[in-house]
Amino acid sequence: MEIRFVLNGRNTLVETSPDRKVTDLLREDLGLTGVKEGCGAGECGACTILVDGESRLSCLMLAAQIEGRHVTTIEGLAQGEDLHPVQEAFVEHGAVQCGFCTPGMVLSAVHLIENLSGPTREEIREGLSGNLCRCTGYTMIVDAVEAAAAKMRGEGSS
Amino acid sequence: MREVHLPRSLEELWPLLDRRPRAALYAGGTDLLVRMGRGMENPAALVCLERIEELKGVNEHGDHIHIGSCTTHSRLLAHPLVQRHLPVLAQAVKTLGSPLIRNMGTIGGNLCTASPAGDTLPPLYVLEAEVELRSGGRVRRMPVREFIRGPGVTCIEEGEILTGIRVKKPARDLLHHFEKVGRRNALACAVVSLAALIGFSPDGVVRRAALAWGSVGPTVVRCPEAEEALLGQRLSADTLQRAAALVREAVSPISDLRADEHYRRRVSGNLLLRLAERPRPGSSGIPPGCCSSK
Amino acid sequence: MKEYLAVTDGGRRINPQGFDQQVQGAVAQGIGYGLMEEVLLEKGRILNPSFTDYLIPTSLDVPDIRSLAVETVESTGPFGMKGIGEVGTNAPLPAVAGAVEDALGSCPGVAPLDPGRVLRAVENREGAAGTAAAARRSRTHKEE
Repeated sequence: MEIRFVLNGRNTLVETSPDRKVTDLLREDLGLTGVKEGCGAGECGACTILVDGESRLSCLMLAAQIEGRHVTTIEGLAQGEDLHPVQEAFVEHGAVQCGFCTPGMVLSAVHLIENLSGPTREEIREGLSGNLCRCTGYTMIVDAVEAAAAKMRGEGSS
Repeated sequence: MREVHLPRSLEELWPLLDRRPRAALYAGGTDLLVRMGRGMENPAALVCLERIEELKGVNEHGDHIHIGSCTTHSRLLAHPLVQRHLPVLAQAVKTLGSPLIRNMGTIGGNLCTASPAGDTLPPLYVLEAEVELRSGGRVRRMPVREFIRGPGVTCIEEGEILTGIRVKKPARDLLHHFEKVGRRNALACAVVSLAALIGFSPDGVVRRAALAWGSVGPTVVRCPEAEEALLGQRLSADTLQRAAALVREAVSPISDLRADEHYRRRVSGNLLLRLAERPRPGSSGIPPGCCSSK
Repeated sequence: MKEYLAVTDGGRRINPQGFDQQVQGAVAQGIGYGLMEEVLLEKGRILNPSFTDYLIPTSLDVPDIRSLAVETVESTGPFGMKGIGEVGTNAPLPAVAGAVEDALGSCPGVAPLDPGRVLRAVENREGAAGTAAAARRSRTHKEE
């Protein structure tokens, strides 16, 4: 089956079986290994992508479902060499250790900030509660998202 | 390789279901796709309902609220009609899964999965919600309590889908309360949950009470004895303790990986005690129908 | 858990952010160990081999972790450092156990201190208090 969709801003056509898991489609057929599979059951958030701007679990989506959609993976966030403010903040605030949860965590954070202005630390924790992290203990992740949200609101340095 | 169909309307759906009567239906996939991943289901064909716009949305018709079955939990939470008229449901949906699960999962899916621990279910029971089932040929309606027969078992028939949920707008001055006890604060399957709608007389005495418990029986548990025990009383610790004792007799919890039967039985009663802490709607400037859970 | 303060001796602290990263991560793991993580076995078979049933803390289960260093110099360590990856896991369970003991007068001797175990500890205390009150009543009766 042919699936046409917009991937990281580019019109994309793939030939695949309609029931192929979107995580596998993105990682294996399209080489976007920034999308991670942590559990395959929706319990960890490592596979998070944006679909029409909304954060979703790619491990619980089938290829047929992305026909005509705008899909963003972590690879699509930076503009060339310019990192997205959330990515910059993660680097600056020590929010990355092993990095496995990071693509999903960053995309969930982007969705959160774009939908909730000036989130409190508690709201940030709530917004990221579907993304498990084993390395960081979350504190620096919350620091990073708080700083990125302020920056994106135009409030100066983090 | 499985067939996956994405009909764009009910008109496209019915002939599809005629051709593929044993197709597995899903909207968000947060239950079905997980079960398939575990090898518990292996359908040859799948029908995804997520593109059928007429199955989505929250609307009011006179004194009823209608919720499309394929409305995601996130959309439900964000909807002003739900926030204004159905806070007990909003409080429950807020605790469901995670933001990612809520972006995908739907209220219809939660009903059709009919887990004893389904978070939307106790609120829908106290709200006396009605489900609408449609097939190519007919429409059926029934109360939620009749729709769900047992764990994972509903009245839905082959060729039929759940199209919507209908709720009569509750009186504006009721206390809406929901609390879920889990093993952690997100991505937590309910161990015990309580939904409550309480109406008070001007002097602070209970004049009506609807209570429903999740995860302490094969389906949602109501306890008319406990509701009776609250009528004509104030919500004092003593009154609630007496009602709690009745609840503990009424529930039939199991022991599983998350908790044992003893814990669930004890806590099902304890959850009532929280009602003593809730401000009565209308008192000290709190808007009617507005209540915060834990 | 509302707040957490970790004060750690890792010898000399050369990369403060790296130091805090390790401490905060280990504390979160210790919180999981103390409150919710348990491998459930039945005749050698793991009953909960998935993220659904083996529970680790989410962002809503871990508070802001404040990490302070007590700097010493470990003469046997490279540049005076000690290893910092694991030590943070040690304290959360004893901290919670201390809190439970403070509240109830005793603490279950098994981790995790999950709600079921803590409820039983509360009930045992109620039971013991009931027994003590009954013993007092019977002593008074005998004295009369």
